[in-house]
Amino acid sequence: MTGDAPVLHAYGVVPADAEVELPSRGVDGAPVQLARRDDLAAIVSPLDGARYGEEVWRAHAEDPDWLTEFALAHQDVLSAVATSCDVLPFRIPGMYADEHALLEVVAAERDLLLEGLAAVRGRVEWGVKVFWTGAAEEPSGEARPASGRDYLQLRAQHAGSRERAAEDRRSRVVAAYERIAGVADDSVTSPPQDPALSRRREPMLLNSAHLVPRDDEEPFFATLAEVNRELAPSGLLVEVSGPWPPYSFVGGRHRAEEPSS
Amino acid sequence: MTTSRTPEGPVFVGNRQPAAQSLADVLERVLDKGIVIVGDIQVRLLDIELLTIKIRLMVASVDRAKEMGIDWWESDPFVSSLAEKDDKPELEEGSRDDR
Repeated sequence: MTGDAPVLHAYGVVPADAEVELPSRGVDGAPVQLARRDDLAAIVSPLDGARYGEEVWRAHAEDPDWLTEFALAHQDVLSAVATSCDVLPFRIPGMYADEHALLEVVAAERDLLLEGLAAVRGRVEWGVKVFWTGAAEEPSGEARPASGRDYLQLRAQHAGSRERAAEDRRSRVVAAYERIAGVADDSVTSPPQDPALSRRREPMLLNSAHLVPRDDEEPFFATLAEVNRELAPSGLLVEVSGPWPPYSFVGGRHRAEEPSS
Repeated sequence: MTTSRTPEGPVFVGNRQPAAQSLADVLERVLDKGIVIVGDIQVRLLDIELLTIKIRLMVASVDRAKEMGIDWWESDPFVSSLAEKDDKPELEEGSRDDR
């Protein structure tokens, strides 16, 4: 309850027998350690309660700079682990009073955690986004309208062709998603990111995540390259990020059959 | 992971030392995905999760937020501290008038 008692931050869970290479420093430069319970081990950092306790979290929950710094440090640790070892990433805040409190929860949720680890075994997450750059949009501009009526007619035609073009883009993106999902072990889509956060002005037509074997990524990349070649002439830009710890495949939220468009 | 894998391949964006655009990817995953296990603990997780609702909404779509009747981002200093003023989205399908 007090603000100054130390707290334990949990990054995620790995199999206890995994050969984990932990980065030496995590959030706030704190050491990164393993806390074992039976066949599971939590990746943790002891943190100063005065800097990361409950009250501090409360005060900073809407502070983007504070949250961002924490999120990046959390992600850096998980990302380093995920390149060589299966890991179940935790959502933040994942704060516990002490190791005992954390391990009690780990023990209580053991089945869920083991199930989650089994589902992502040997795999990492890759993110795929498709943006519409608008490059291939312009209708073949020739005849200038001779009258007001011509102008209105032309406008209506253009509006119709824009709608058809938008529909065409959507179906291309859905087809692309299905092809990519076809070479991944699991796939999910998420809502497009807010432009204010993504800092992208282009409309995001696809925001998906794919679970791919760590040691067999080539079929996935080959398909991405094909999809990219096919979409590029329509002004659609494919962006890939990763490898990520399998964040999108452990919570089970936001599962969707169709990409949002 | 900061360069293209193939000359004509898709664009690859790194996820370490993230550039501005992949910060959204990190926040989306770290705040909105990932596993949650809750016990009888000192720091009340779910409570704090509620407090971060704003940034959670940031990683979802504007449309979804609008559906929920939320439009705080239009004038919220929270948004402007993340986004550049001149980075407002302006390219929207069907929104431009032909001349």
